[in-house]
Amino acid sequence: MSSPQTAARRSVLVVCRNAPYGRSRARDAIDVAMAFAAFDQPVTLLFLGDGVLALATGQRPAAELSRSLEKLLGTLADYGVEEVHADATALAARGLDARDLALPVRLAGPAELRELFDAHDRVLTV
Amino acid sequence: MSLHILCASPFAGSCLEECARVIAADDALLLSGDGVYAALGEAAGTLHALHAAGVTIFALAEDCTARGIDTRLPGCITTVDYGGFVDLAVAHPRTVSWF
Repeated sequence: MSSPQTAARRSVLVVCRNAPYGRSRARDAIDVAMAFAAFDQPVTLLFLGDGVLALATGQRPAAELSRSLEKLLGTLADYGVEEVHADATALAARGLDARDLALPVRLAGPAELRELFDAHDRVLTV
Repeated sequence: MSLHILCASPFAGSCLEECARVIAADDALLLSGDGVYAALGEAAGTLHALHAAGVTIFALAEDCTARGIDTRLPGCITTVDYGGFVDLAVAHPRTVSWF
């Protein structure tokens, strides 16, 4: 039986594939990445496809409807989520570049994306 | 080496497009549920390109039959039953779900 001391720390790639606010999935992806980090599991957060829209600056949701995802993103490093990547192809397709993003992320082209998936023990798509 | 599981119709969203962007040549792709609609039309073209690049492609037989896709499967797709699904999951160190 494994105990917390002996259990292997397996790396997790959390993939956010949804735009913010329309559904809760983008927030769920960020929350679950923070939870992995809080339990000291090596975690990488990847924004893929429409998920890159969660990174855009200037988000101002009506307070009574939804908290700002942009503010939440600003706390990722505090929770220990330091590896954040974004799908470069999807960003370009949406007319965005690194200057439009709320936090510094690593831009990943197709080759880097394949390496990211291969480099983690588990992949969680949200 | 990953097993990618496509669970949604590629005509309803970007699941197949994003999967195709990250899938590696030694990966496998399993079509499940509405994902079997990837056997049709433009999506089948994407599957042919993945197959040519080295990706092995499977579809759950039961889900194909239920949707009348079993008679329309391109040659690059191999059908499996649930036992085959389990074998694929065991043979790959990680699974990636697309829905």
